Amino acid sequence: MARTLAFRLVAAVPLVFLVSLLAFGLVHLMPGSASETILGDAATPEAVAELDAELGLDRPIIEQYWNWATDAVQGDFGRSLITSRDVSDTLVERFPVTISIAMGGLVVALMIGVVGGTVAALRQGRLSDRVISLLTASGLAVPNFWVAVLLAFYFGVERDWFPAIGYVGPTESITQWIYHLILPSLALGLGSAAVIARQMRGGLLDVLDRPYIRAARAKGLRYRRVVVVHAMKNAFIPVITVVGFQASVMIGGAVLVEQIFGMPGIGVQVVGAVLSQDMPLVQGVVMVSAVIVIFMNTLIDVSYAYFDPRVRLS
Amino acid sequence: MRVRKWFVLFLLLALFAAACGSDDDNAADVISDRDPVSTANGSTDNDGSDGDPSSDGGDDPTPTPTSSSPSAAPTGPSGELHYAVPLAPASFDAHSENRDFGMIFYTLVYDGLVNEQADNSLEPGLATEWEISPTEARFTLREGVTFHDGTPFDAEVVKWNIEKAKVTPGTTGALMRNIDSVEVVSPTEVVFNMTGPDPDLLNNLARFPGMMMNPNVSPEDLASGAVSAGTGPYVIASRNESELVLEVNPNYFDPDDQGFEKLTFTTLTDDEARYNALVSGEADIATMRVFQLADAEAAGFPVAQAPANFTFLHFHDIGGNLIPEFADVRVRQAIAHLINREGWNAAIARGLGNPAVQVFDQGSPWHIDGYEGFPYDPERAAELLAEAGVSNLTFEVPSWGIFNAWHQALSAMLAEGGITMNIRDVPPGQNVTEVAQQQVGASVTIWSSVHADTAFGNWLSPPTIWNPWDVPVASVIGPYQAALAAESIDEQNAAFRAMLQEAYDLAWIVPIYRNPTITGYDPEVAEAVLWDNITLGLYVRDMVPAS
Repeated sequence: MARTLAFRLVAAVPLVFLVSLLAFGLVHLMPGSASETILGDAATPEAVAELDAELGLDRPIIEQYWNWATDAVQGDFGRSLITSRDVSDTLVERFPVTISIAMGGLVVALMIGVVGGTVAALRQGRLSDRVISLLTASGLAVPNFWVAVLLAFYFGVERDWFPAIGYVGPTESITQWIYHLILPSLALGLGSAAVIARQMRGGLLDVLDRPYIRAARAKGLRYRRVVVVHAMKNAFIPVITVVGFQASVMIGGAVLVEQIFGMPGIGVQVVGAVLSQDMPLVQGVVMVSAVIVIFMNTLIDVSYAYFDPRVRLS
Repeated sequence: MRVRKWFVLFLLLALFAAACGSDDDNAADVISDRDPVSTANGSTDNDGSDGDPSSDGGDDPTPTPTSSSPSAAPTGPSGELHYAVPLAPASFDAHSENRDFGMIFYTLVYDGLVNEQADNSLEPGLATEWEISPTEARFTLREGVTFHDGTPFDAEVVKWNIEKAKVTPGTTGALMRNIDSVEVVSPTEVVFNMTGPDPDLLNNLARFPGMMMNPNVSPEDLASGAVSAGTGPYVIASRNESELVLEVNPNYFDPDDQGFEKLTFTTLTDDEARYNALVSGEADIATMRVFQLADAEAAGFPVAQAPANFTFLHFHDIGGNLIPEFADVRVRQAIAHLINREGWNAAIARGLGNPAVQVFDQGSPWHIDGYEGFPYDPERAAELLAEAGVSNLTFEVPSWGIFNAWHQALSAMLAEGGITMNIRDVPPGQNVTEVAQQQVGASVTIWSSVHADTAFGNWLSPPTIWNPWDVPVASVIGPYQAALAAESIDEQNAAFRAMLQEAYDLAWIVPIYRNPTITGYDPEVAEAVLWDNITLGLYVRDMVPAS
C-alpha cells in the first residue's frame, strides 16, 4: 500500500508541472491585460507599457514563467494586482472554507448516495426503489445553486433553523462550524448523492448477481452479512471512481454555493480575479485547486488497492 | 448492523450540532449586537462652524434633505453595525480609486481638508478655514490631529498627499491639474498655487483626490489596508477580500461622527445573500435591488431610498472619428429622441428612479428651469435620421455588470429607430479603458460630478478620458471660460448652465434617469442614512445606534 501511495505521489509531479504550465499559459491567453485593468481610466498606451514593465509583464514569457514557478514552489504566489494583498494569505484564508464546504458536500453525497443506492438495490422493483430512482433523477436535474437558494430561504430565513449566510471556522467553534456547513453541504451534495446512488444501485445489483454471493447465501450466511461484508465492498469499486470525480465537481460547485450562503471561500474571489485579470491570484487558485484534486485522486487510486486486491498485485 | 450504528451516530451528532448552533448565545460572529443603546446628546462641538463659507466653497450645491435622519444623538460610540455590501474597495489608496461608492469606506478611515456630508454639502475637515482665489488657495489646518499610528498631521503631509495625487494617473491626477504647486507656510498653514480658477476645488478635495494619507506607510500596506493610514473616525482593525472591520478611533477630533464602536462590512456579491443576511438578522443593513423592496418591507424591514447617480448616454466620439455618423448632431439628437425614459425607469428601476433630461436636479444652481431636452419621439427621430441621410447605423458598446441592463434597454429602444447597438461583454472596468483608448463611440455611463466645473473636466473638456479624441467644442468651451472669468457666483452659475445646456442641445450628454439607492435596515439597530448622488452610498458618519 505504501509503495502504491509513493508511486502515485511521484507520478503526480509531472502532472503538477503540466498544470502549472496551463495555469500560467491560459491566464496569458485571456483577452485584455492586467495593466489595463489596474489602470482603468488611466490606461493610456504609455501608462500600460510603463506598468507592464513594472510588473514584469514585458519580459519573455518563459522568463515570466520561471520567475513565477520558482516563487510558487516556495509558497510565494506574489501579490494580488487588484488588492495588493499577498496571494498566499488569501489562499490560506479562503481555501479552508471552500474545502470545508466541498468535504461537507462529499459527506452528504456519500451518506445519502450510498444508503439510497443500497436500499434501491436491495428493494429492486419495489416502491422504495422507484421513489429513490425518481429522487435521483430530480437530484440530477436540479442545479445545486437553485437548491442552495431554496435551502437558504426556507431553512435559513423562513424557519431560522440554520444560518442563511456566514461561516465560522473550526478553530473558533466546532459546533458552529458544522452548523454553518449543513445547508451549503446539502446544497452541494444532493446532486452528487444522486450520481452516487445510481452508481451504488447498479454496482450492488451487479455484485449480488455474482456466483460467489449465491455461494455465500447457499452456505447459510445471513443475508445482511452477505450484503454488508461481501457484496458492498466490491460494489464500492465503481462508486469510488465516481466519488473521485465528484470530489473535483464539489470544489467547482462550491464557487456558486458559497456565494449564495455568503461564505468567504475561494469561489467568490476567483470569479472576481478572473474578471479583473488578477493573474497572480488566478494562478495561485488554479495551482492549489489542481494540487488538491490531484491529491484526492491519488487517495482514490490508493483506495482501489484496499477494495480490490488485484490492484495491489498488479 | 455496523452501518446502521454509524448512521445513527452521525444523525445524533448532526442534531447535537444543530441544537448547539441554534442557541443565540453561541451565535456566529456575523450576528449583530442588538442591545438597545440609551442615547443622550453629550457630543462635543464639531468645529463645523469655523470654516469660511464665504469662500469659493459658497457655490456648493444647495443642500437637500438626506433620505433619513439620525434617530438620536448618542453619548458616545456604542454597539456594532453590520453592513452587507455588494462590493468593497479594491485598494485603500484612495487616490487610485474613481468609483464613487468607495467614499463609503474611505470617509470612515480618512479625512480630506474638507469633508462631504450626506447631502453633498461641505464642512471643514482637516482644514478649519480657507481662502480661495484664482491664483492661490490658502488653508489653515486643524491642530493636534494625528494619524492612526500617532504620526502628526501637518502642512508637509498635505504637500506630500497633493503631490502624490497630482501624479496619480487617471481621474485623480486630472482633478488636481489646476494646482501648480504646494507651499508649506507653517505646520498649520499651506498654500496651493493655482494655474487658474478652479471652482470645484473644494468638492474635489472632499473626494478621492483630497484624502489625506499617512506618508510613513508603505505603498503596499496603504493599498492593501494592512496598516490603517488615515486620521478618520475609524481605524482599520482587519481587512480581507470579504470583510472589513473598522474600530473607533479614540483620538478623533469630531466624536459626533462616531456613532458605533465597531463597523463590519461584509461583501456579499449575491443579491439574495444580502437580502437573506438582513432578514435573518445576520446583517443590520443591506444594499438591495429594486425587486427585493416589497419582500423586505413585508418582512418588517424599512427600506431607505435616496437619489443616486444620474445615468446618461455619452457620445465619446462627437467628432465622428470612429463612428462617422456621430459627428452629425442630428444623428445624436435622433438617438436622444429614441430613449423612452419612463419606460426605462419602469423596466429597470420598477418606477423608483427619476426620468431626467438634465443631470442637476431642481434646487441645484446648475439646474435649467423649464428645459425639456429631447423627449421620447420616434417620429422626430426618424425625421432627423432621414435629414442626415443615415440608415442602418450600427455601433458597438463594451458592457459589464450594471451596465448590461442599461445597454440592453438602450439597444431595444434604438432598434425601434433602425439603429443597431451591439453589446460586447468585457471585464469590469474594461469599458472605461476602451473609451480612453478611442475604441468606443458612445456608451451609457454614470454621472459622478457634483459640480458643473467637474462636469466639464470629466466629460466635455478636450484633454479628458471621456473625450478621448480631444475634440474641442467652442460652443461649450466658451461658456465654461466665461464661468471661470465670472465676477460673481450668480454670473458663474449662469455661465455653467449655458455650458450644460449646450452640451444637452448638442446631444453630447443625453441624460436618461436618476437611479435610486435602495437599502434595507433593521430599525432596532440604526436607521440608514444614504448619501445623495452616490450609488450604493451610505453615510455612516451620520448614523447612530437606535434609541
